[in-house]
Amino acid sequence: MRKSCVYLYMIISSLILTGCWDRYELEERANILGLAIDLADEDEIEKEPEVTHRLNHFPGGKTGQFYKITAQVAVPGKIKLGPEGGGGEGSEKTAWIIKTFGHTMNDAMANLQQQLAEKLYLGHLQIIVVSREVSEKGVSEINDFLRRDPEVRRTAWMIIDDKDASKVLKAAPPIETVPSLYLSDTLDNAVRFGKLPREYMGKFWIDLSDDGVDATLPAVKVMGNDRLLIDGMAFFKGDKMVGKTTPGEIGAYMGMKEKSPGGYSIIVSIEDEEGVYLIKSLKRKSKTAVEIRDGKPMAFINIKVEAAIEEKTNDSKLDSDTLKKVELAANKKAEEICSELVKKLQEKGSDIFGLGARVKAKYAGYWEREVNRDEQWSNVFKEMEIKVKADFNIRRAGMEIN
Amino acid sequence: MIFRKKHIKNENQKGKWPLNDARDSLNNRKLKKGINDNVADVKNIFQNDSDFISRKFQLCGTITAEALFISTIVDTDKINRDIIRPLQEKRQDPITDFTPLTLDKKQERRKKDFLQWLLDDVLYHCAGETAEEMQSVINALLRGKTVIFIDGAEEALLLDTYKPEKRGIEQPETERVVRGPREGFIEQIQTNIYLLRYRLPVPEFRVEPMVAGNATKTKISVCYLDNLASKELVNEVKRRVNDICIDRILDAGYIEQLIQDNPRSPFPQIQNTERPDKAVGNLLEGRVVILVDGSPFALIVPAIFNQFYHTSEDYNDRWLVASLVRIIRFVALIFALTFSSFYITILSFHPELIPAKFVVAASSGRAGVPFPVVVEVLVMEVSMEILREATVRMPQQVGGALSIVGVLVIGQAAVMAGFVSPITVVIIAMSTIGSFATPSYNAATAFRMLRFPLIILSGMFGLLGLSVGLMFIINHMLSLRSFGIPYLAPVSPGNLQGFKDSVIRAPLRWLKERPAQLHPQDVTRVASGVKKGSANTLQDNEGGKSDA
Amino acid sequence: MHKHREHITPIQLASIIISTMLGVSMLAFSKFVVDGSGSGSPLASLVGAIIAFIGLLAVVLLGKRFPKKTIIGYNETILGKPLGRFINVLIILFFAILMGLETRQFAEVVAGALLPNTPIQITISMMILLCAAASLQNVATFAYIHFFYMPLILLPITIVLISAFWDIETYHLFPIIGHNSSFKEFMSGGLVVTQAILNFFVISMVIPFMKDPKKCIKSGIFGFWIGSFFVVVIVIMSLGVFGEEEMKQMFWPTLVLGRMIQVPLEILARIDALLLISWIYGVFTTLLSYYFVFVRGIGELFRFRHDRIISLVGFPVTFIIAIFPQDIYQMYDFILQVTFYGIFLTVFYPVLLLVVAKIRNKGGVSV
Repeated sequence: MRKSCVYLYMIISSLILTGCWDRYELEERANILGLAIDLADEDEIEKEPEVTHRLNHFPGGKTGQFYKITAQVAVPGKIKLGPEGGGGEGSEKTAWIIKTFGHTMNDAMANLQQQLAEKLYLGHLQIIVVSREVSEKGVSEINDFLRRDPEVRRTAWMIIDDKDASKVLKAAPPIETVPSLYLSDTLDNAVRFGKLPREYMGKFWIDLSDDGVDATLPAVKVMGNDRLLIDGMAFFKGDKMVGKTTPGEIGAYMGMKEKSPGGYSIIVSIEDEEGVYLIKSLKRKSKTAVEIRDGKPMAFINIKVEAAIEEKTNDSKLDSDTLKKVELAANKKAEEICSELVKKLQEKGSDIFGLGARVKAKYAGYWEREVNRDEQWSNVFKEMEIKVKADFNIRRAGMEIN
Repeated sequence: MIFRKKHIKNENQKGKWPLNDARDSLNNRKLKKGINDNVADVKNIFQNDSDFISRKFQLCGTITAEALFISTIVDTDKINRDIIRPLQEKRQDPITDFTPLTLDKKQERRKKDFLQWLLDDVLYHCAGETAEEMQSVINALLRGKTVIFIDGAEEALLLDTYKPEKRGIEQPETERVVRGPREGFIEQIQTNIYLLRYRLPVPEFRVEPMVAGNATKTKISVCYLDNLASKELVNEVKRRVNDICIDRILDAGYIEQLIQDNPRSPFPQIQNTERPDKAVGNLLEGRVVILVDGSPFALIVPAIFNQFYHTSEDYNDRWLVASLVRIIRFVALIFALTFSSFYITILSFHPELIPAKFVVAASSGRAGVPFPVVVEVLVMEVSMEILREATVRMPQQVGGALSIVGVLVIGQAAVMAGFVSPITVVIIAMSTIGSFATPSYNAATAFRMLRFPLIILSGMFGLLGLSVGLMFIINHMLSLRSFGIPYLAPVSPGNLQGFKDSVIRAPLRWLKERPAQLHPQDVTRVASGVKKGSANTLQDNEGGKSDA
Repeated sequence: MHKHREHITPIQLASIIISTMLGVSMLAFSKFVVDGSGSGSPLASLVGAIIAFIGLLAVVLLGKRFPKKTIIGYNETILGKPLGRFINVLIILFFAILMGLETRQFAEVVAGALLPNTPIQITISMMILLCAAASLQNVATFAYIHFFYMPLILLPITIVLISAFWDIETYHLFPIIGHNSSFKEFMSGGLVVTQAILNFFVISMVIPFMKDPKKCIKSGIFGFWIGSFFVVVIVIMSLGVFGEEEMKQMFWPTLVLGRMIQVPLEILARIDALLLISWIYGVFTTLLSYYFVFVRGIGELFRFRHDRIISLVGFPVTFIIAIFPQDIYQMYDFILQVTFYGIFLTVFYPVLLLVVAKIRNKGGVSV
């Protein structure tokens, strides 16, 4: 009886399963590997097709905001696995760059789908570049679309570019891969080398939603048309970008938030000496303590860094004492950089260290009384006293004794 | 209770072997006194057969007797030497003046004594008995026995002179091992029993005869160890074999199909083997071995899933090596079942699982192919099955060449023609080879066949279809019983001891118990391993530790 | 006539509890817990588990008291026929509704995250068919199924939870009591956990089939706490990684957790597929338990032992219940409401029953 039920079911199902609804072959999907989001210029606005709404009848009256979305689609058939594959085809052949416009993300996507034979597929989206303009207006609109779509992976990267996001997607190295892959590799390896905190999109969203923490995103700049420079971090207040750090400050940030491995070097010089030492941090440890004194929160951050000397441009001998002197100099230098960073952030009221969250966790009562909202915390953060202490431990000096 | 299955006995004797007219009249008839009548009855049936021989001679020089036999299945030398010659010798019958035609009570008894005296004192030949009914005479003739009719006696002598033609004992074709004995069962049941006997010279080894098949009257031996196998199991086996009512048993496979618990399942519930060492190993676990005359395959009941990727070689090798090899076989089995479906699922439904760099290149491989992945995989799988079947049937010389040609044609040329994508070929090849790695042919076939519904399901529903299909299969396996034993023991009833001999093979020292699910009478194997004692037996106990 | 020639061992009982508890709701329930208790969710989940534990103890003790009867049987014995029958009908109805709603939840996740275009009816009917086919077997096979799938469920979850460990931010987990320090809200989160794991109740139908029903106490407790351990750890990990606010915005935190981990070696770019497969097995075992209770309960209640017919009839019944909610929000509302009332049925009622049994001195060994 059971078997005949199964057979019956199979027969019935074979009659209706002409389409196998969800089956899209690999070549029937347009693999979007990278997206760039800009604000559109005036003259490009008329090009909007009327897919989701009639022209000029966008509900809610928000006709002003207009996005330009550039998508980079991988072209199947041009990239070969294995030792075949002609040399130097260039990125124009391996990836296809398409522009589209829309009032919102999904609007633009719908416009795009209207023009393509294949089904848009975001499952391999590696990188989303957002221009500074857009992020200063607020990223929550963009995020809503990306969150709802089940295909978008949370381990993709979202990065900020100063001027033109679509240029980033065209930055093509002579290595034959799709540029988006190269870009996301750059970022992933930067994390591995300790040059960037792991703020991929999922973390970004978590930090956005959290009370008392403000989010950061890597900021990039296109160099020479074929590579990217990681140009510091963009920090946010709420969902709007308010500023950018320098690349060196990323190291300070990572130190303060205890992100290993270390990857940044600082240059120090000892008094009475010419020449400089280049010290590279290997591992970072930090202790953050928040306290409430006189009804106001205070933070103490202690950074401990293990470092090695990488380069020395003078002739002096290196020994334990010199190392100690170098360490002291490095401590001072690091504290300087950190305080500058902190000042910058406090100006804008952007707490990327998560001090607010720690206050909320430790002093729940205080939080509920005084603050109670994320925005309010920015104000408190501006007034907060933050003390940073750095402690370098130089362990080794490479292959040369001197 | 444990081993029983629901069974409806065939009461109305349908399907009995139909008898022709001459035989019909002989049913239940007793032998007549006069020799000519008896001989005439027998000759009535066999007279036109070229191999039917009848030889008249004088018993002890005085009494007429006739020997009847079928020459193709008897040993004529033995007949001449051990039967006819001693009987023809003139000798003094201790029971004197025996005149067959005058009968009285005392002489009736003396006639019986006479036959007995013949058997006891005269005949050199060992196996002999007397018979009273025509039916048994005819059956005996057909079994290769020599029938001797004696004038005036109402009983005939049946003497066993069966000589079969047989091939030599060779390495079994279907179960090759690298290390282990190279003997395999042959078709003659006597030889097979010999192969088992010499490995088990214990008095508890029982070999019980049964007969099945109305036309073939195949001899079957149910072998087991009296002190180990559960009595219920043995009785159940015998009951099921008894209930078989079919006209032919041409191979052990017929018996397998007729006594298994669930004929509708694709999975085999009875194991078969050509190797005597494997059979003996299973006997010592408490299982029952069924030998079938005319088939080189012995059946082992009950069987569980674990046995289908074990070989006897595993116990000959060291435990680490054996365990690793078993794991590889198991993985190969899983591969054979699921790999192609997994490939379809990933490529058609969930490409996000593939690493990004690979996706871009993989879609290039598929760019020229006209068919969706499901169709491609199905076509390739079917052609692989055809190829496999063809290589089995081909004569030896052509077969080897064909497999190479087949691979070349299907693999390379199809890819070049843009008909299939190269990745598909690799996947199919791996899953086919995976199914070859399973030592047990019937289990491998089951998995091969189950691949197809899984492919179809995963082609329709992606990951969900694959999971649901796997669940159907697993649930089915979990509900199978082989003679009452859960099919997926030791996993199913959760027997920890059993795990020592499943995917891994623990060292022989640790395999202390017999599998509990068979309910053997004696659970402990002999504590196997090395006896304790001083490490170096040549040492003189000076300076060396001795284990007191 | 019980088709039980084979018996269930204590380990199998424990595995029945574990695999039933880890089911459909594993994906979604952490959101509702955090909705209620905020950062106090781990503690609240523990409290919720303890409440459910009370129910389990009662069921197990009742099982020991009536070793030959399922709950359908001893309901009637303790409370008398009319009242007992009424409660039995309630129980069966409860499980039938739960089965339909949970199947719908399963189909919604599949439609949301796995197969967006496949009609939901197909997914629902596939799962119900699978459960119906499997529930026709005898109790031993039922136990084997749970025992077999249990490591397949536990292992991927363990891998996910361990990998998520590195992404935890400690400030998500404090203060332990949570910000909304009102007791009601704290408990509302905790009770979500109780609602999610009250399917331990199925063992009340299964205890009499054990080889030795007296041993059910230890294995029942053992199984329950292992299952609860995983439940609480899921809550802790989800909260630790996502934080309160983010979780309020997600439907299925555990699923997203699975998507965020990265496996070294890049064999599979996202192992959320593995997590989904193991979750499908968990769903199957849970739904099978419900269906099993349904079929056996009706069979025993109305003395109608033809399981196949009941199974067949149950198919359209559960299908209709599954199709009933109009949208996903309605579905979750229904589930929360039904399981809330379910707490009374599965936790408080067995305690009541035990007390009444003691008073009226029914049943075997005095506990």
